[in-house]
Amino acid sequence: MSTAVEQTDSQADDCTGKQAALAGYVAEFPNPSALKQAAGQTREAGFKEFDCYAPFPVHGIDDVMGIKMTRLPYIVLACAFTGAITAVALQYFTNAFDYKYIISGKPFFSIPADVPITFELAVLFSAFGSLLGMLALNKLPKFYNRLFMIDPFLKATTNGFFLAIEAKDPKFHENDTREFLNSLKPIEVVACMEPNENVKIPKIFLPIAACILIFGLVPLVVIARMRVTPQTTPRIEIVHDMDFQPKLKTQRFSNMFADGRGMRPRIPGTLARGDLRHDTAFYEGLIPEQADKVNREHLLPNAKKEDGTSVSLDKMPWVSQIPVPVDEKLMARGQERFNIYCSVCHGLSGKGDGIITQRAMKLQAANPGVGTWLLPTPLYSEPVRKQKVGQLFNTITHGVRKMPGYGSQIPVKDRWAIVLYLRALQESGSGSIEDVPAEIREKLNAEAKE
Amino acid sequence: MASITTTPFDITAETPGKRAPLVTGNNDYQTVTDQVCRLAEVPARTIPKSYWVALTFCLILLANLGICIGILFTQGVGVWGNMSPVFWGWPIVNFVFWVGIGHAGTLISAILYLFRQNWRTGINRAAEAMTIFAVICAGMFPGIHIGRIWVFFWLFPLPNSMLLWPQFRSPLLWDVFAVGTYATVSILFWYMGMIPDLATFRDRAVTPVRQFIYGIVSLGWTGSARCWHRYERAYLLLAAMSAPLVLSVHTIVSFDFAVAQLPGWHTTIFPPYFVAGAVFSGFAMVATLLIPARVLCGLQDIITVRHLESMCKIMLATGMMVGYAYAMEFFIAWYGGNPYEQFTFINRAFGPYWWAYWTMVSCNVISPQFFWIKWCRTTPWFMAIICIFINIGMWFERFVITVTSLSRDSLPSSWGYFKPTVIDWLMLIGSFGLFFTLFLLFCRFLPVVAMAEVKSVMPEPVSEHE
Ligand code: HEC
Repeated sequence: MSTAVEQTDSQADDCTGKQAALAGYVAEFPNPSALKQAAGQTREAGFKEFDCYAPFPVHGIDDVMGIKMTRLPYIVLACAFTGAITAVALQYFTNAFDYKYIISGKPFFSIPADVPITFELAVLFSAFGSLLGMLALNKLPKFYNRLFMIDPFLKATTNGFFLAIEAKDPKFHENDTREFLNSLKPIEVVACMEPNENVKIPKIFLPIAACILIFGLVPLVVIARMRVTPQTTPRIEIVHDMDFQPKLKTQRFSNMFADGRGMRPRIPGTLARGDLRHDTAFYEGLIPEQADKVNREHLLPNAKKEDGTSVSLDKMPWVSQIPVPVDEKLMARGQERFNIYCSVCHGLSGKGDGIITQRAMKLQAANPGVGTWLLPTPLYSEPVRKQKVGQLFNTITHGVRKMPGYGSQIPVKDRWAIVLYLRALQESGSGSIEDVPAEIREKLNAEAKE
Repeated sequence: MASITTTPFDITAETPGKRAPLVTGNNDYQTVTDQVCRLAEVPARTIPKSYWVALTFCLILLANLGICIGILFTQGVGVWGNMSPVFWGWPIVNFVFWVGIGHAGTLISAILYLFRQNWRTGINRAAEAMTIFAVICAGMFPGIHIGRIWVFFWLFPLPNSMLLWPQFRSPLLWDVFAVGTYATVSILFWYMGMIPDLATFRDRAVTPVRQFIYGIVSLGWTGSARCWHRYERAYLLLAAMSAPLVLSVHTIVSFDFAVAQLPGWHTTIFPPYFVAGAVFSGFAMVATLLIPARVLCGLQDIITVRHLESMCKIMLATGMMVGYAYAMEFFIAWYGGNPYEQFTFINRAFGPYWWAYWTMVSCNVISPQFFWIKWCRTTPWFMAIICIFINIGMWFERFVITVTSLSRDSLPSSWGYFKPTVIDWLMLIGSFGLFFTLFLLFCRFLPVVAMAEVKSVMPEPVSEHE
């Protein structure tokens, strides 16, 4: 078939020995407008399988050739939405669902904080969408192209303007189409041949590629395997992190000090952290001289002795004096703290009618046999009145029987303030009318009568 | 084929109706291609000596950077001058500086594209390349700043054996995403723009090696009109996405500062101020690179004085925006009535770092004012000097913001004075080595000018067949 057309040198080379099939004609034009005109005429002549080639986009050639608007923008839009949704889902999943933690009191999931990353990922996805989408729609990469076999076509990326009509177009005819192209006043018309068969990728290529891939994966697999296998020997430390630090551990030798000891003895006249706790009167309500004999375990609620009998708290060496200066301010502080911490159960007057108690009693009455709530001891009852301040202090610190301890919430000095206020409550709760000064007594009686 | 004839003509004319052509000299499509490809195609021994000198020098600086990073990795971040209370010292200053520079490329290729500024075609490729190299330099600094470099991947939301995730409410993580996205999109944009030009390289290749390599990277591009149609769409879409992206990146970088409560950082003006500064410094760097590069590559006809002049105008405009921001920061410090903020700003200008502050003001606000004069805008060597001053000034801007605010934080007992170490210095210099090395390699191996785009704004040759 190739005999029908004038051959350029390159084609002649191409078909060495074999008869190559005609793939189409390529016509070169001198400038963009000539190309555009030719494209228009080609389309009018009814050709469908034709294309124009230029080193830059020729203005208006799309319309002339009848190229339809590409679908690319929709692909990109879809990518943008995917990116945005991925970003929101990622942020929700990681910070508000899978691993919640509070940072500066910020909400786990908040739209404003998500905006930057949502925007960035939307752009990132759509950028990939537009490049890869463009390449895919253009059927690129395509490293082999018949057109590359035509020498003049190499100018298409520099200064050549080409129009190619493919042989598969239904209107294509070996001679007529050539005549037609010649009538468009091109610089020249060249025939383009189907490739010879021997341009295929060599068969050995695939196995070699597969081998390289498999051998490339071996190290990764070995590493992965080593990571999950328990080892009896120390692991290989590529990066030490902070596992081996040049530091002195307890009981180690050190030549930094004259005595060779790594641990330093205490410097005379100094206090270690927590040393102040030796002030047992203040911290525990125990008389310092006898505090050593007290087993501290026995101070806890419901403690038992070794022989199984219960501990008698009353016998402990409690202090009987509040070990901090007592004044009106301390009393006021005690009242305030009591009302905050204790009144919910014990009631504001210490009678044992706090709101929690009231509700618990109501619930217990409604569901007999269910609750285990115990009425709090009235704080002015005889046994409690008899207790030394040290014991009251201990009750607040550790709790007693069913009452929980408040040592972790209430600072030491505040506990003493509460103890002071307890004494006042006991005074008012157990006193008689005789204790009230005469002038106020009158008034109280009058009020009581109303 | 005829070419554009240019009579002696004011090649910087910008008056509508009689604008200077974008490509001067007797050039047609062929000669433009020849000029752009020259440095990439000539055999090594015919390359100008100046290229080898420059490359050697830059490689030495790059080696120095490598050594510094080696020292940093083995010794830890203590080799830097970062010290309480200035925990963000030079590395972050350098990061913000380089990221800022990396803004011009995308601005030129995306925003000027959307505004149909045709003069961008001559410079956009080089500017985009510069952007990518600047972002590489920028990304390096926070990357090596993390201390335990071997777990750098903790920056990313990857499933891990500790079942931890990064904290998405922090601007620092936004930064990872913003800079990462910016770098990726810039590379995609750059590469896509290069495909047709790489095809030109492929088709002109004389050796099989070149043909193979450029053949692979140009993906089989033929210049088909159907391909061009989708290509142009994709380019437009990328430009439309990159335009807000480029604004978002420095905005988010500025959040690193603005979201903190430190006086001098905690201001709402930061995002626009940072973006203006980024464009300003980016253009200065593009001009600093292109003024010698156009001579080195022999591209005076394609990167003309008109291009340089347009860049000067942008620098003048953004320089004044930056100046306005400086003034506005002071005004708000006074007007806002916050004594700590007022102290910070007075301390900036008259405190221990007064020298940095006034270097910044004179380089960034005063030096671009020369560009009001036409002679200054059209004389390349003078422009280059001003641009270098602007680069210096913009580095100092980041220094002033970062260091002066931190060194006088809210706890006077911990106030200090930041002193850079030798490593700090060598790393800054080394980052320039990295940047210029990459740029020189780019000039040698890739199309420095977007040939396809330049050709599309050249007047059409008249056919001699008619
Ligand atoms: C959760 C409710 C609750 C709170 C709050 C509470 N208590 Fe009690 N308290 C009790 C109960 C119940 C008892 C009776 C315990 C028992 O007999 O098992 C009790 C008993 C006592 C006793 C008598 C101890 C004894 O030896 O009989 C004192 C004293 C006391 N509380 C003081 C306080 C003080 C002071 C506070 C505030 C710091 C306080 N309580 C807070 C529930 C509470």
